[in-house]
Order: sequence, then structure tokens, then C-alpha cells
Amino acid sequence: MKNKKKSEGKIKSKDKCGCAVSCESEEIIKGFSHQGKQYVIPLLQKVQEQDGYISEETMDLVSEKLGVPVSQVYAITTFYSYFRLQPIGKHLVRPCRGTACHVKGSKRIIEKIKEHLDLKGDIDTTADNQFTVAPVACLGTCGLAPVMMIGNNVYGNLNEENAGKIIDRLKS
Amino acid sequence: MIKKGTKIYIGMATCGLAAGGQEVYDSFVSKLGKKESNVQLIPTGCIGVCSREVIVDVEVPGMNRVTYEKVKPEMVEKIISEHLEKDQPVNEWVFGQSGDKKVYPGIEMYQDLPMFKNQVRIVLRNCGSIDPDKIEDYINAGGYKAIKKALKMGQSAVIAEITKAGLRGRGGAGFPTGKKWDIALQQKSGQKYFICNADEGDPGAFMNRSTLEGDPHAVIEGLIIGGYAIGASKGYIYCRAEYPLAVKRLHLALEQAREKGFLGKKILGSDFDFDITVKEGAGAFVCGEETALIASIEGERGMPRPRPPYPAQSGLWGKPTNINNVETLANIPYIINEGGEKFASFGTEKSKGTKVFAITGKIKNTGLVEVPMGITINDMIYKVAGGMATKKKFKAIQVGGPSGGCVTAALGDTKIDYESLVSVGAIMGSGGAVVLDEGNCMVDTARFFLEFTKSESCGKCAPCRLGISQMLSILNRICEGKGKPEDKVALVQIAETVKGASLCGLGQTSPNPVITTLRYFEKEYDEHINEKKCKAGICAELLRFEVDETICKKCGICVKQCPAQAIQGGAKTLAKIDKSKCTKCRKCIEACPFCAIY
Ligand SMILES: Cc1cc2nc3c(=O)[nH]c(=O)nc-3n(C[C@H](O)[C@H](O)[C@H](O)COP(=O)(O)O)c2cc1C
Ligand code: FES
Repeated sequence: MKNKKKSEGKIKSKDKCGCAVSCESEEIIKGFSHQGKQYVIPLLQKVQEQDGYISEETMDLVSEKLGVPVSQVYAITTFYSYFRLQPIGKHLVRPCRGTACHVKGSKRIIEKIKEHLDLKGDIDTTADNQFTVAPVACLGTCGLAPVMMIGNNVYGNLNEENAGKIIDRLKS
Repeated sequence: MIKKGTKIYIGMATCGLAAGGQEVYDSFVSKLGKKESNVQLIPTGCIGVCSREVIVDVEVPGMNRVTYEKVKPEMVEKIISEHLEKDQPVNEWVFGQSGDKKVYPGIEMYQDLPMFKNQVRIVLRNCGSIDPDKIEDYINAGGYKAIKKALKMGQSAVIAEITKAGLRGRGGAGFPTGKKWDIALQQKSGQKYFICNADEGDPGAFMNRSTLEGDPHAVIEGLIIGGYAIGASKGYIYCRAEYPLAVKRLHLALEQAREKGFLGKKILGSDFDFDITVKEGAGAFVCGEETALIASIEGERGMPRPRPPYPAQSGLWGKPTNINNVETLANIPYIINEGGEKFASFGTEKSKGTKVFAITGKIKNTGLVEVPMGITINDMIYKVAGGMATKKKFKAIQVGGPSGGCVTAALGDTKIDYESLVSVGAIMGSGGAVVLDEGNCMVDTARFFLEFTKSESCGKCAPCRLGISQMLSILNRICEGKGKPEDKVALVQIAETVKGASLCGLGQTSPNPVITTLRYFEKEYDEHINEKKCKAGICAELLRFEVDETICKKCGICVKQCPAQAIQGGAKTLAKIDKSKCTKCRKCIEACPFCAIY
């Protein structure tokens, strides 16, 4: 499939200089031209697209740049499920657990995916940092349920067998 | 020879792409090679038959437009050599034809297919037939005429037309749109806002996504007309972040509308200034609620606040604000162009027009349908959606998402309109309809929705925060085989409290899935609680891998399905499962048409 998300593959937990905010993100924040709390969500979204997650340092930088208390930035980051506080693996796997997918057995498929990647309990990222599994509440492609999204690509008509195979194809 | 001006439309909305639309597109490009100069390849939105994607339409000049279904890259070569070069469609892959040009023999017309015969397309009028990335396509299809007309009509006349149409909000509650606009117009304020609610939080629904991806300009035009009617100068579209393609198309469409002078200062030479900004949500269901949505745009945690004051009085940044759903707005240009009366000729006395449903689950044609209000549930399932997908029987339909209810198959004659759905315990909601068969457990379904609302409750008010958790823990217990007879009473009591005492619609409606499943499927609760049985074979802790001999019809299907050869019987003898061989793969449970294995 084409139109791969540009950030895919670039995601990393720390950048080369060892900061928890990548140089690219730092530039995004520094170059942001607005101020005020209504820009917290858009700016955090830009950073997360780049880094894959929001670090404490990111929150500090955003707070400083927008002139919003860091407590407010933290409040927003933790309220919205879109924001992640932990780094993610190279591939973000988002199996759907929405209604249409649920009634077609997504629960067992998600279990299978986690089993396949040897993810136990609450752990969502593989030890080699290749995959993060984060279920979502509906990808809007319910007509092809059960569905999962990897990067920006959607895979439909999943079953307990093919889900693992699709993931294997991405293994490097 | 390929005729000059031949057009190929390829379904490339999210569903189409997920089914491989890009590969099919690429295959056309490479297989056409040099011949491509005679052909126009057009990526398009979705006509609504997601289960049959990738959809490809071929239109040879002078001939009707032919639709192919489930197209794979391997099929492209034959379509080119037969249909494009010799004008002989590959009938075996064809789904139907449409248009008023020359008809191909042996291919059904769209309007004769049961699926389309029972639909009325107002909102989806352009979806799948125009290129959403080209404003010219929308204009050629009659787009942006309504805004010109509206500017001439004047604000009050526009609102009067919408009122005459009887249009009610498609975002859930069904508030009359004309009345809402009128209240907003009456507010005296130098600054007003108009927001389009594209948060589409119902997990299992995608009407708004498809509309935005397939015909973004229709929503934008509706929003501009709305902004004009109430006297707003600034519009917002609040779109789910999970819909990257819709967001992208919106940005592009807005840019084009600005270039053409439909947005910006002094629109079309009038005194009306209006511009629109897209705001991406961040994954909170409650942000679909209007006051929470406003808080979210302002950069707060998306928590609802008590109303009044209503957003019309004090909304975004304290200014009068009108909020409408995507589908509500997509209806507006049609109403202005065709008149309120024409619109009101569809539907029932109190519910006018059409409703788009994302119909999914255990039916054949999953996808998007637009039906006139007042159609029955059965007609929607059997006539429009092609009936059930498996041999299992239709059990219930879930309408309205987490705020809605499960309507039993026995009430299949219920009409789909705002009042009738409420009378059976469901709501119209935004248009999610999930069809369940005998292989779905109703207790598990209720639990599923509560898991969702529990995680989405913002936690501000106690009845919602604590009540949903309590109900969920009882349901978990029942599904695990630890249910007690008094659990049913407790569920009802908590449900009533949460319904009556919660702050916003999320809490108030969250018990609906529990209340309706208890009302229509009490026996199933009893089986779980007293017999520790889940006859649908869903609740993992209750699975026994046994055959109910009173139900087994000795058809032998399970015997064939079992990969471990653990089942004996079939052809006139009752099935029997050898537990020492059974691997608990569940294939037999899924295959049994009668749900005899649990
Ligand atoms: C919990 C909750 C979630 C909602 N989600 C949505 C939604 O996703 N989309 C929507 O248009 N309206 C949603 N609504 C309804 C909105 O509050 C509001 O009534 C609607 O956007 C008004 O538009 P309409 O008059 O065009 O229907 C939701 C309401 C509640 C209580
Ligand atoms: S429920 Fe899974 S994509 Fe909508």
C-alpha cells in the first residue's frame, strides 16, 4: 500500500543528542507562531506526530512557548486518549474494538495479536521496540470489520489467522 | 481502441483504500500505459457498499456507467481489454449500471437493484460519483448554487425555508434546525460562531466520515449558508483525529472554496464575511457533546457543563454559537436549491427527509445507506442491506450507539423515525446500526457498551462516574458465571439513577443498552445467572463445548468445520464433541446455524 505515513519508521524514544524531545519537535515548538491555551491541543498533536508520544520535556517546552501553566498542559495531555505519555515502537498497530468489530469477534483478534507479539498483561510495546499495540474505539471502516490500522493503512476483514500474518510482513 | 473521454472512477475513500484501492489504481496506470491519454482516472468517494470494495466504475462516452465490485489488480487487464477496448463489460464482475445513456444488455440498472431501489439519496447525492478533491466537480453537479441563492433570499427567508423543510438535527437529539438557527439569529452580538460537529464518536458508525471524504464541499456549503443565516463570521469544523483522510480533504476543499470566493471577505460580492477553520479532536467521545466540544476548542479538558445557558446564548468564548452535525449541514444546500417542501415530501409527519445509516454487523451488504425516514427496520435489513450474512438468525439491531438501545428482531416492523425509535427504547442517534445474530450474546453486548462509556466518562459528575462502573462490575460478574439472582434488580436501580441524575447526555443515556437488553432479552440474563450458560457461545468463562441436543438438527456442518476431528455425528445423528480432542478453537460454535453448541 502506498501513502505511508511520513513519520512511520522515524519514531524513536530519544533523539541523537539524547533529549526526550526530538530536535525536529523542538523546532516545531519554537517555530509555532501562536500563543494561548487554544493552541495546546494542536501543538501537542504536531509533536506527537513527530515523536510518537508526549514527554515531560515536551510539556515544559509547550507550556513556556504558549504561556500556559504546565499543569494545564498536563491536564490536557492526560484527558485526551489520543495523547500517549510513553514512547511507541516503530509500527503503531491499532486494532479496532468498536461495536461493529466487537460483534465480529475483535476481542479474540486483539488477544491473538498480543499473543503473537508476545505482549503480556498491560505491556503494549515489544521488547525490540518494533511494535506498539493500542486498540482504538472505531476506525470508521466498520463495513470491513474487523479492522486494524498500522501506520496510516487500514486492513479489513481480519480473522484470527491473517492478523498475525499482516504484522509479520512488517517485521524487519 | 479506447474511446477518447473514457472515465474510470476508483473508490478511494478509507474503505476503498483498506480493500486495496491504491493497488487497483496503480494497476490501471501501469496497464494502460501509453493508452492512458484517452482515459481519465478519477479517485472518488464511497457509494456505500463497503463490503464490495474495491468499487470501480467505467464510463465509455455515450454509454451508461458500469460498476464493478471487488476489483483486484489482477482483474484490471481484462476490464481494459474487454470493456475499454471492445465496449463489452465483463458481466461476471459487474454489480450494476447507472445513467441515462445507452444501456448495456444483461446488466441491472442501479434503480432496479433492491439495495438502491429503497434508498433516497440527498446527503449522499454526490458520494462516489464526483472527485471530492475537485471543486469543479462539485460545481458541475450543481454545487455552490445554494449559497448564491441564499445570499439573495436574506437571513430570515433562509431560516424559514429550513423550518418549512422540517429538518431536524442528525447528530442525535433531533432538535429542529430552523428553530435552532432562529434562536441564534435573534442573539444580539457582534461576534457569533457556527460549528460543524464532525466528532462522530459512536464506535461502529462512519456516516460523517464518508460524507466528508466523498463530498466535503456539500458540508462546507451548508456551513457557509448556516453562518450567513445566523450572522456568524467564523466557522469551525471539529473533526475526529482518527479520520486523517477526511481532515486532509477538508483542508484542500477549504482552500479551493477560498480561491473561488465562497469563503473570505465579501463573499460573492455581498457584505457577508465568513471563514472556516478545521480543529482536530483528540480521541474523547464526550467531546461530541456540544458544551464539551466548545471547551475542547477553547483548549480545555473536554468536559460538559450544565445547560442553560445554551451555546446559542453563550457558547464558544462566551459568544452565541450554533452547532450542527455534518449530515444536518449536508442537507442544507439541497433544501435551499429544491425548496423545503420537496424535502418535506420524504419521511413521516414528524421526521422529514432521509437518514444515513452506517449499517454493519452480520448482514450481507455492510456499508452506508440513505433511507427515507419511516422505513421499517426489517425493510432496511432485508431489502436495503441484503439480509443476514450467515445462516444464523437475525436477533437484534443496535441503533444509536452507546446512547442507544438494542431492539429485538420481534420488533422489526418498527419505523425508523425519531419518535418510534424512542418508543422501543433506542434513539436515532447519529446513524449507527449494528445488526446482531443469534451468535451474539446480549449480556456481552451490554457489557461492551458500558466498558466504552466507562472509559469515556469524563468523571465530572458522580452518577455517571460511579454508576457506570457499578453496572459494569455486575455485568462482568454475570458474564463470568458469578451472577446472583438479585443482580438484575440492582442493575435496574442503578440504571434509573444514572439516567436521572447525570450531568450530560453521555451519562443520561449510558444505561440504555442495559435497560433494553434486560427488557427484550431477560431470559438470556437468567440463563447466564441461573444456569451459567451463554447460548451464543461468546462469554469465554461459560463456554463448555457441548451440544444442546434439543436444538441440534443433525446437519453435520460442525463435523466438517472441526479442524481437530473432535466432533462425531452429522447426517441423521446428533453431534457429539470429544473433549479430549477439542482444542476450543470455537469454529463449531461459529459454524452452527442453530447455535446448538455453547
Ligand atoms: C455524549 C455525547 C456525544 C455526542 N456525540 C456527537 C457526535 O459525535 N456528533 C454529533 O453531531 N453530535 C453529537 N452529540 C450531540 C451534540 O451535543 C449536539 O446535539 C449536536 O451536535 C447538534 O447538532 P444537530 O442539531 O445538527 O444534531 C453528542 C451528544 C452527547 C451527549
Ligand atoms: S467498529 Fe471497527 S471500524 Fe468501526
